[in-house]
Amino acid sequence: MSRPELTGAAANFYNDTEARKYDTNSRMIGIQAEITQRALELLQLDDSFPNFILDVGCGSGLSGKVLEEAGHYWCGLDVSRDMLNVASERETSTKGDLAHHDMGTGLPFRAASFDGMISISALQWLCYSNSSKQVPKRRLVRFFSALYGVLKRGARAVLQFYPETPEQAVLISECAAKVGFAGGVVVDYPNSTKAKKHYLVLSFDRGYSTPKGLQSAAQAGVRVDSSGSSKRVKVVKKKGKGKTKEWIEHKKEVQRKKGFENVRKDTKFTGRKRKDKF
Amino acid sequence: MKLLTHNHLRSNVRTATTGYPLIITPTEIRVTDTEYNDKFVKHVMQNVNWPVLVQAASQCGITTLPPTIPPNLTSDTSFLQALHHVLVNVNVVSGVLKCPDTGREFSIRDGICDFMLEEEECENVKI
Ligand SMILES: C[S@@+](CC[C@H](N)C(=O)[O-])C[C@H]1O[C@@H](n2cnc3c(N)ncnc32)[C@H](O)[C@@H]1O
Repeated sequence: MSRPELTGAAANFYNDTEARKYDTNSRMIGIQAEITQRALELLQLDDSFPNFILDVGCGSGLSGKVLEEAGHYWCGLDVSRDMLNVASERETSTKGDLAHHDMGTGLPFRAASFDGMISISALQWLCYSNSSKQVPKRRLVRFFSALYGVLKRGARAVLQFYPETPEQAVLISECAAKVGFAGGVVVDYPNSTKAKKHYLVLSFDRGYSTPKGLQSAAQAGVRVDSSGSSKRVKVVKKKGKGKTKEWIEHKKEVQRKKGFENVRKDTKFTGRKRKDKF
Repeated sequence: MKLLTHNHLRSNVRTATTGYPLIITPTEIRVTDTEYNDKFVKHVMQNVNWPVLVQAASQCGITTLPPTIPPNLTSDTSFLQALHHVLVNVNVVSGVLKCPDTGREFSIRDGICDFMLEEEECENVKI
């Protein structure tokens, strides 16, 4: 899995080309919609009327589209003008509004503006600094403190994010708690490396306890918030699977090409699982 | 930018006291035609700052809103339809928003307002 956050600023990664690819990739559309639906479920809105929702890191409007289909009006913020341009070309959107904004700088709204807030696959970007002036913890605290102000009392916020390390998830939760939010991280499909999803669920209610994460990973999608064009790809080593036959044969082939003569022949025993011996 | 959004927007630069309401100087307005949503208007109007909406509408050339919400009209459909129209259908496509406290300007291009701040402009927070 590549981490676009490691390539530099979000506005550079999500440039015009990437924004258009992002918005037309059907796998992306499906998975972002699935995550947004789950976020809406966790948001527990009063559905007896259409709500006014803030969508932070709204991108090309895939998450907004789901809000809209659920009947809500929304205001989307994003740091990539190219993503916003694609969003504003979406002619079917009548309930959304867009602004160019970096969530690490606070939020440009008066107190108690929104009935709820979502953020889909964006928050992890705040854990990285792209200039000497950007201090991740300061940006996180500033963001959460602003969020605390712009939500109506009783409203909730659900932020799905991809932590690179467990420490990042802890840092994010601590910053949210520091400004007075109750809540925590709901982890869906915790046993699947690919389908695992983190949702930070925030509430004003001191007695709020987060619901349980979903378990079965059969239907869940993997992370697809980048089309894989990032340069600095992080190699994630698979652990515990052992060495496969293909892997061994490939290694041997490489050795042969390098001119080694003692490479063993490939046989039907190559890469077979041996009996466990104690 | 819809006037619904404008009614909630403020300038959050460090030096602003309230940063609200932002003064609109439009250069292009587009009026769309979205479906009237009774439940939404009734819900959202409870949280609308009325004098700010009246002023914003007049900055966009709409001078038909009464200076206060007529109490007998809160369930009047034609009034609510007009309100829905002003909140949701009137869009500032280009122009400038100005912070009333600091004069900081935020430009609007293709309906999208630029609220990007430099780190020096942001509110201080204790960490
Ligand atoms: C994977 S996209 C998700 C977009 C949309 N929420 C969706 O579900 O399709 C992540 C978005 O977060 C935005 N983003 C990253 N850092 C941000 C920041 N500091 N402020 C606002 N948006 C940011 C990116 O520009 C990008 O559009």
